[in-house]
Amino acid sequence: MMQIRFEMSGGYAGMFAARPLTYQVAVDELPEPERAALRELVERSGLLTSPPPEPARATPDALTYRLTITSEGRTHQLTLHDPSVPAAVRPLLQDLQQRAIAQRAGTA
Amino acid sequence: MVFHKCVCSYVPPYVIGSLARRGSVTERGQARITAQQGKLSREVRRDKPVKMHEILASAGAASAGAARAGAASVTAAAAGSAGREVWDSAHTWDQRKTLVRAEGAAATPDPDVNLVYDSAGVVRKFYKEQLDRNSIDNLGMNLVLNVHFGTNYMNAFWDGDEMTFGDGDGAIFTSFARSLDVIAHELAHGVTQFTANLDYNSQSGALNEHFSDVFGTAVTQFAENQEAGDADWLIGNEIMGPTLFGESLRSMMAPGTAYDNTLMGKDPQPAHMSNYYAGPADNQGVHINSGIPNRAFYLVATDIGTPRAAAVWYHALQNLWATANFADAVDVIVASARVLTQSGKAPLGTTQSVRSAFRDVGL
Repeated sequence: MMQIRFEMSGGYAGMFAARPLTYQVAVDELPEPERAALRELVERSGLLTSPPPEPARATPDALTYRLTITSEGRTHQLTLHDPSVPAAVRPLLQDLQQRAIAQRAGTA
Repeated sequence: MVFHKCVCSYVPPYVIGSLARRGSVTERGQARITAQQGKLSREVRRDKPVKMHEILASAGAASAGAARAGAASVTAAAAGSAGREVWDSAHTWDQRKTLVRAEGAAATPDPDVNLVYDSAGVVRKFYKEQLDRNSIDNLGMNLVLNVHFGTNYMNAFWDGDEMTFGDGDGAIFTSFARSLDVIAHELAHGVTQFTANLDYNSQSGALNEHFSDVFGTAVTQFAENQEAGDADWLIGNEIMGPTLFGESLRSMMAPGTAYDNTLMGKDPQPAHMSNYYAGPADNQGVHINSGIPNRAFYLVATDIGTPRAAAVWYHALQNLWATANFADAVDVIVASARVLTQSGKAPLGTTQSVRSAFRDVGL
């Protein structure tokens, strides 16, 4: 069982300022090969095994990403800010951002 | 003395920064974290007196940095010459990856590189000619600009010593590097850091955002030779992609009216204290409540002209402090209006105009 909750806020645009861009997914309910692909992005991000430390301070106009990943009964809560996001995490954030935008554009 | 404003570090940031760009992923991660902490410690050290040996040590390391960059085909401008350095992230997540155009060098085939180079030149000229300021730190700090950061990256930011721009996703946003507005806004975050150093949350953070919008729009009007009455007072309209074309991100004239669409919702900026946002999002509303002082600046600028209004605000920025709130800002801006009126740099009536504008927005 893997569940992911993604939230993106901040940025120069101030878009998503009052209403952060969010997306929630039960990974196991996704069809293949989407499911395996997303699981692999999580695995490659290294977030579950070596989460990066909280950033020291707010950077003007930086985007903030909040992730809650529940996997094998454990919940991992992470906050990441540009520009200190590890490169290995970027593909996962990008995938989740695209899903969030597609969902909001389609349903909101 | 201006040295107390010099933000120095025992380990020069570009040394750590360089580590962050070389080495293994783990090393890079560690160096990046250290670079962040360095930025923090530089912040903490901002009020301490700076010793000459630190400055000299910094200068020595700067030459080493220049020599390193010189190994590539483009040579960086001398440190402290207010020179521009455009670096290409080449769609990676690395800053200062490849130096592609330095001060005085010929145009490159990449239009984004040339646009960001030209825009940074306009911003530098604005500060020099209109405000008698020598670059970001008033000590000729070089302007470091990273373009093509990441993939589909919909943002631009200032992180303590450089500016970084994404290309947008092409649908919602186009390239952030192509907008003078954006570059002037980010560079102003640097100016704020070296002056009032407003904390980036709540009211001081909204003031930080406000000053960036003020100088962003003042630079645009300066470049386009516009009067306050001719300008559109919109922020971000230049980077809206096909999906949101015709909308913008903020309106200084009419905060709250910049956009209204499915993706972004409705522009949440208040134009008056009665609609002040008190929630936790966006570092307690730094991009939201900035609408309130933004509207006040617009009112003053239409009254006395944008260049003179910008001069008043710039004077105030040098007298504000990190935890200043809206009420503090009003007091200091009013005091600045009086000082500039006394010295003949602002017309009679400026003080009343500033008071009246802030009263109109509920302050």
